[in-house]
Amino acid sequence: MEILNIEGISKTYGANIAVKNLSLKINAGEVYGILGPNGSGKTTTLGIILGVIRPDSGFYEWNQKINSLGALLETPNFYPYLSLQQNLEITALIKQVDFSEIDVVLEKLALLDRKHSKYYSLSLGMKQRLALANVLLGNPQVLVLDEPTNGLDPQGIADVRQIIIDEAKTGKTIILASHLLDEVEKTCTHVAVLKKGEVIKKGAINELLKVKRSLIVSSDENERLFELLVRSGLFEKVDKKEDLIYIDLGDNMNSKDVNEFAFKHNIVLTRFEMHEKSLETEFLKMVK
Amino acid sequence: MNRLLQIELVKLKYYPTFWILTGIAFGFYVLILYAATQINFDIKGIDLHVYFRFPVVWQSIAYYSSWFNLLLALLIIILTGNDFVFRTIRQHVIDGLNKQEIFISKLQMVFLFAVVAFAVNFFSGFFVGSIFTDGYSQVFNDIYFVALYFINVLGIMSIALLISVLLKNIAASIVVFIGMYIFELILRGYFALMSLNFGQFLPFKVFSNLCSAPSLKKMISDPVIKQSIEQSMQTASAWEMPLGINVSLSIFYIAGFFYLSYYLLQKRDL
Repeated sequence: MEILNIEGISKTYGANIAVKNLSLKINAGEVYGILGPNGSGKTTTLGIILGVIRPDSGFYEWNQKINSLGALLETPNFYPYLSLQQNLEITALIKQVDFSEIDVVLEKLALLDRKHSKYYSLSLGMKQRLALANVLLGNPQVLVLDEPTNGLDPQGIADVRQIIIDEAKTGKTIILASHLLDEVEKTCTHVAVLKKGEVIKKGAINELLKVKRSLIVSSDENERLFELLVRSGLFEKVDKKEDLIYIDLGDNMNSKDVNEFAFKHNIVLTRFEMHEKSLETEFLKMVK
Repeated sequence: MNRLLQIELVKLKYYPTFWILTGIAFGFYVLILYAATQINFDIKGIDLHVYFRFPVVWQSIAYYSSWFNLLLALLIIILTGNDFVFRTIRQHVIDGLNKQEIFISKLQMVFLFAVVAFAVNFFSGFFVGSIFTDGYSQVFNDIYFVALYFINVLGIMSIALLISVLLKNIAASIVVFIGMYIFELILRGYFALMSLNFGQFLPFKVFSNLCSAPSLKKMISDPVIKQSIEQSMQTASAWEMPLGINVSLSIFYIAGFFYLSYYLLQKRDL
């Protein structure tokens, strides 16, 4: 079931293009990561689908069956003079949720003992956790999270990541914008990479990484091996740095083919390392 | 209770600035009113207490209450501005309110303040009038001044709401609100010098006309002095807008300012 359909949205701020003709479809149960360097249009895109930013053109459409949505956009926004409980009472009234659920989400985010503290007295990490409690209030079917681990310590990051994974396991759809590639790689099923407001790559994260396996090899006849590999044209990319040869296998070749290639040319490989490329490597390549 | 109003009440209930400002204003309101009722000149032919008797008291109290409009405007600017400064207005939309509901919640807050100010005005007038008047035969004469005060206070707060939605900044909104008032005063002075009546149609003037001060001649009990003052005032008096037009124009301005606030909320990014 399609949850969100974004069709050709664009947004400019003066001469700056924030989002350019962006289209995405997100299905139920997906954990959809939106990646991109600073200024790539992630937050603007989320702002548009959350109704706080008006697109110049294009449209977006949430599935009519979605009746609850929890979202965190950029920084947490609360009344500093109100306590955690009072701030969440406002959200509960907006979401039309019973006040008794406030304790449940505060407990989940380890903030229950601070429920009567004023918001201004919280640390940055606690503020971020309160924002997540706000998102989870009312047990929404869809979560939209913009940099949810901002300001959190390593334990906090791990806890939030676990919460996202747990929520995803319950079948929720999660849209997650982050520049923490490790976070996206560990939690997302799908990813869209933005660059200067445009989607430059999108799809299932496994698909995106699977085809990008690489090998690092070396031999006593490194120069000859390198020349043969390049001349063969069988491999997507062959590089040589110092005494190591880097081979991008591409879609049709695998590590066995490289071994056989060396054997066929009477070259004994002294080093043979298989590398599954990380999202980070891919991402940096894409946005370069 | 209405959900949108409940949201505004949570923000108000625990907001110290609101209680401090309201407490100070209410204290001054009672204190000044009490002090005013204690003043009396022992001069033959002049009776100051006429302003505290029915039916004149309704106009006197409406005029006096309108002095505190600035405080109500300040509260609207601060409370609306807070939502922009803390970016909670944005969070409310993210959490599920639409912009129309946000506007309605602000409108309800403005009406709530106007109703409370109206009630304070009414009970003060009734209380003071009851003390200074023998009998209640004239109690309902001129009571329409309480309704005029309601329109007056609503008008001032509609300007405050528009400015705060337009500027999204508390300090700038206060400066612009006071600046607009001063600018209108200057403009009115200029029009008056040019012998033009345009100044009467400017918003602050239209609203303040609703709660004008009761005539000074009301305190003069000597018929001879009263007649001579009336004659001199007739020759000197400037054009005055008929009450019906004044009320209609006020309602037109209020509707216009509310609509502009709504339009800005709808059209702009949060």
